[in-house]
Amino acid sequence: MEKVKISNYQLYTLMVLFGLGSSSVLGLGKEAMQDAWISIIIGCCFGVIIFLLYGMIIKNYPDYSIIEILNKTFGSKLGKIIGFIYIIYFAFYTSVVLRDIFELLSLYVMTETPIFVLALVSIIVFAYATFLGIETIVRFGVLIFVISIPLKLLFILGTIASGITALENLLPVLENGLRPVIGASFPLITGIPFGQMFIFLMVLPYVKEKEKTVKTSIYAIITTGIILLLITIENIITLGPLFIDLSVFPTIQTIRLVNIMNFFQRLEGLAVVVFLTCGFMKGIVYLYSVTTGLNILFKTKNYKFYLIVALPVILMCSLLYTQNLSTHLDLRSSIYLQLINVALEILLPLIIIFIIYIKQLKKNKLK
Amino acid sequence: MKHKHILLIFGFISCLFILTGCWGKKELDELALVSAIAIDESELGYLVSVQVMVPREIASDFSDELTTVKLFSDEGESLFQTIRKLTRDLPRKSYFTHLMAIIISENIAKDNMVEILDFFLRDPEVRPDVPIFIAKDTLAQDILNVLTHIEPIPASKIKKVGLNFQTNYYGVRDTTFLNLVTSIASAGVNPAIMGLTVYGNKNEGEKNVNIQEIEAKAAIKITDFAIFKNEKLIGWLNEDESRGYSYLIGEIKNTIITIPCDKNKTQNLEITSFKNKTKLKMENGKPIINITHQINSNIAQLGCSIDKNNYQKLEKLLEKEIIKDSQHTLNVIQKKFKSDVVGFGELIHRKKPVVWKKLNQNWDDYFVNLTVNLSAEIKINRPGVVDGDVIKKILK
Repeated sequence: MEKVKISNYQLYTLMVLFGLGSSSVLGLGKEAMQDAWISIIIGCCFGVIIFLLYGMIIKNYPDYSIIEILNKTFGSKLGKIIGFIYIIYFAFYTSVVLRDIFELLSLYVMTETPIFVLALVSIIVFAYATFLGIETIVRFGVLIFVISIPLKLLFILGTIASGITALENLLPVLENGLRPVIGASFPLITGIPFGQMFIFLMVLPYVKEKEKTVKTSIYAIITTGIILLLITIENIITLGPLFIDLSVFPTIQTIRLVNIMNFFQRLEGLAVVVFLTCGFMKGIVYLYSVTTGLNILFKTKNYKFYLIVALPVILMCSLLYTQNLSTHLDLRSSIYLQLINVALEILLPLIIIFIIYIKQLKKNKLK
Repeated sequence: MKHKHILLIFGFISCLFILTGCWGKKELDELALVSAIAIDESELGYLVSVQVMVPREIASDFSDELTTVKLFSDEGESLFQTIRKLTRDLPRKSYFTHLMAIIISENIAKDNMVEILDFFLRDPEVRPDVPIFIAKDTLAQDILNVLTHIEPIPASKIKKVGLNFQTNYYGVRDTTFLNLVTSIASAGVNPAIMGLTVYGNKNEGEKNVNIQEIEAKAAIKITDFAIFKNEKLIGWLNEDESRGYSYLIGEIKNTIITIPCDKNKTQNLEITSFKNKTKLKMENGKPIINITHQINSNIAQLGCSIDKNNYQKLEKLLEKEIIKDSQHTLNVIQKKFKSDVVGFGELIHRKKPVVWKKLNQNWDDYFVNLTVNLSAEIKINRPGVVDGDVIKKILK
């Protein structure tokens, strides 16, 4: 662990950027068609509930990261194994985010650059930020937040100003009943991006005002939910649910259509950059957690050393774990990944809370 | 310390080479900017023609000697293969981000358009809002073979004519290929798009002579609307029917309506706003649709005298005229084409999803007998900048 402190505001910005990450470009809730926005509201509620669970964990161990908490609850051996599983899980998601970034870049902006180069350049940015430490990351986060969030909202206004929106695309509401809507929100949207906020159990120990962390995090999750909701509604009313279902990156497709007075048009280059910044923040937070996690697990002094190990592994994983873009996109809805998400983001924290509860009962009895 | 500086500077300089993103760079003089593409049928499969802009001729003040655009065409088995086959003739790589019009020939639209749409959907260079047209009574290639007045780039003229027609005359719902794909994909609505044709002497159209005189020898014009059933073209609405179709979908911003009043004389009203209030009612489990045209208009030109203080008569005439046109089109699309181009199915889908689930499977059969009631609320606001019975006063 580094000996630095971050403020609650910095935590808030980092969480919002992390939550938007690549989900804002990929489009959420495609399965629910025109009701995707309801799925996001439900998913956001689940996200808040799940984070309240995490809040119960950190109430008991406010100064420890999840890897240490696992050690304390499951004992040193089992705790280490589970901790290692988590680190692999984080590393896997780092490569997924990396893949998102270079697939987006190579699809719209740098079509002829080999993906290896794009991946390498992106991961060097991840690594450099990780190398500089959490303080630099959160400061960078604030800067990105101030620039990219207003721009995202401006893009939404841009589609409305272009006069290409049709509100009736949102109809009919709940065409096939609640089932597909909830099916899309749990575990899909709940898992990605809201459940992924689990990673902040690695970051929360750095926060200055410990009593406010959960509150700040909940605010951040709700903000993320609202922005994702706006983006999704924007996509639905401009493209229509059918076209969203066809598109790989529906948000970029929407922004391609912006044309205000034949002057503000062809904004997708800017949009790709703006939406990528959030993806970068997500990747950086993941990579930082991987390296600090390994550092804590092996009780060494400097986490930076682990960059040398993590970097090539993640880079290779992101290039090799899937054959093509189609399988990469399907990964998110694959049942195995969802099971893993649910197990690691919801079930294990529940078990931890259970163990903490039993331990406290025992203590009280002894007294 | 010194070493650190040197390292830093070295780092920055190496960044210059890595981060410029020049890997796939394409300079302007290496690209052939395609302004429009026309797709025809041929023995091999497709005859594809691309209209490439010549930037030097567009920018120069005296573009008399060379044409502003060039046409390249070739035949091939598939659309994309043919586009690449054009490299046999094209010295530069064809670049589609500035595509302004897609023109598809009638035969292809009747036969197999999905393959073409698939290409345009997949290609990252093509924007989803490119206008799409069907060539009527002519090869699609011929349309790109005409030089145009006022707009130096013919493709730009095609795009703007479409827009102008849509805003100042009467419009169609599916103007871009995004709309087209959405309409094809949804069960409750079939596509209808604008048709283009060439008037005049086609052989003269490609020469600069065509635009050197006041009157063009050949010109591209918007013509009837193409009616589809799912992804296949099944017929055309003629001018009157097209107008009625625009009334039905309410896609009118500003237009003129002409009512015959006497022998060879007409009353003309400028429509300033046109809205459709559509209501869906269920009677005995059957959907009934009521459309009310809400119209605001001004008097634009009168051929017969009217009562100055009483526009009601004129309003009645206008109402009759509009309902006559919409009713006629409704009959044509229900009985002749049997294709729901207005989107009544989509309306039911959106307002009564439960009913739609039952009708969804055989909507095309159901649509033929769908009851649609038409009515109109007309308001005439102004007589123009003069008032009173102008004709009578002048002739007195």
